[in-house]
Amino acid sequence: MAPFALEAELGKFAAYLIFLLIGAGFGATLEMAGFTKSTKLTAQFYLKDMTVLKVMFTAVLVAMVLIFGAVGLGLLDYDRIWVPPTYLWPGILGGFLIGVGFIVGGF
Amino acid sequence: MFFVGGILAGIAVFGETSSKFVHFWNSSFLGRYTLPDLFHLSPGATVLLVAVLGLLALWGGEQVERIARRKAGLEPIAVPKWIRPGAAVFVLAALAVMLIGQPTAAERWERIAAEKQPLLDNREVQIHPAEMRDLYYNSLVNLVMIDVRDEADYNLFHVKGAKRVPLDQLESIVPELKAAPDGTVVVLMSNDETYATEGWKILVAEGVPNVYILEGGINNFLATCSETPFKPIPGGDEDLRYEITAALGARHPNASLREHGKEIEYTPKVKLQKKAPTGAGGCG
Repeated sequence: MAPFALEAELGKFAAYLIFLLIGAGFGATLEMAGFTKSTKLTAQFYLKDMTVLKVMFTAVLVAMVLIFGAVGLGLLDYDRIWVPPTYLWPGILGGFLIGVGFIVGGF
Repeated sequence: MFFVGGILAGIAVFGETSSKFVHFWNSSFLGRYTLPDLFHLSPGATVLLVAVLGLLALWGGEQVERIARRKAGLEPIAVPKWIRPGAAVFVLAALAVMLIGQPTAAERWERIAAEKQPLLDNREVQIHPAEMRDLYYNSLVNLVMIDVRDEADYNLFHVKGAKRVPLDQLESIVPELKAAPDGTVVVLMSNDETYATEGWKILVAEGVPNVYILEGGINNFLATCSETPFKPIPGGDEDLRYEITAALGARHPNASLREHGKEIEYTPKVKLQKKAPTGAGGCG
């Protein structure tokens, strides 16, 4: 049952190779979606191009359905997935700061 | 240059001032807090709700984008043809997740039984009453004692500091136990070990760390640790086999975990997930 202990099962080299491939795939997808262009990020805040919101939101929603579907089917142990602890107000403030940073950086 | 300067300035400001807002940082710590906890809904219902709301948000975003682009004199971004069937499939998938449901504690235990049952069989999680007492006085350990017996037995006698949570309500305290600080050890107790073991399976299946069982239950606690033992009486498994004629609760001296009680040797079994030294010594 997932999540798998890749390091223990495949050894460090194979596990790190898989991590590298996942990271590269993630980066390539973002690159192809145009997420590396600061103008695209800024256009989000001017509401002219909602690609960022659409991609992020779609990813979150699909991941949610797949995770809980996998848990329901007994393929994944939900308790062993790392869920970042919630720090409510610092999280809200941090989100606000990063949003401001995006806008300023886009200029 | 502007970006690098900003990053360096940010690091410097954060590094110099982070100690000033540590209280703010910890002020609203909620632990592993997810939407089902917020909405008081099952995970499946939450998935469906969020899926539908998410699609509405995406649709709303698209409308806003269209209006903003029209005002700016830009062409609208083309929407792929498969977007509506895709959305329908997505909602159906979310509905399926809700109908399949999430595994119950019993089903989760079945899945991990092969891994965890040996801990019970090898008696690796049944801790001696003296070890529980030492954990109580160990400043690095947050000891949570849970008594799963019925109210009548609990009122007759219970260990001082033990909280009564019947087996059918154990799952309701799981979020609280999971949010407990590192170094928390949960010890379950019943008159013997049968009910406590059932409780152990529920909590372990729910992923609560550092859960143990009081070896031999309350009967063994009274047999080993009492300074002035009650009169033993015959009884079956999970019966309180001591004569207690009044509802003493935790008011009797035998209910206290005394720091300097009689010395008893035992084999320490508690292995904290986060390293913290355990104490040593006698029994309550």
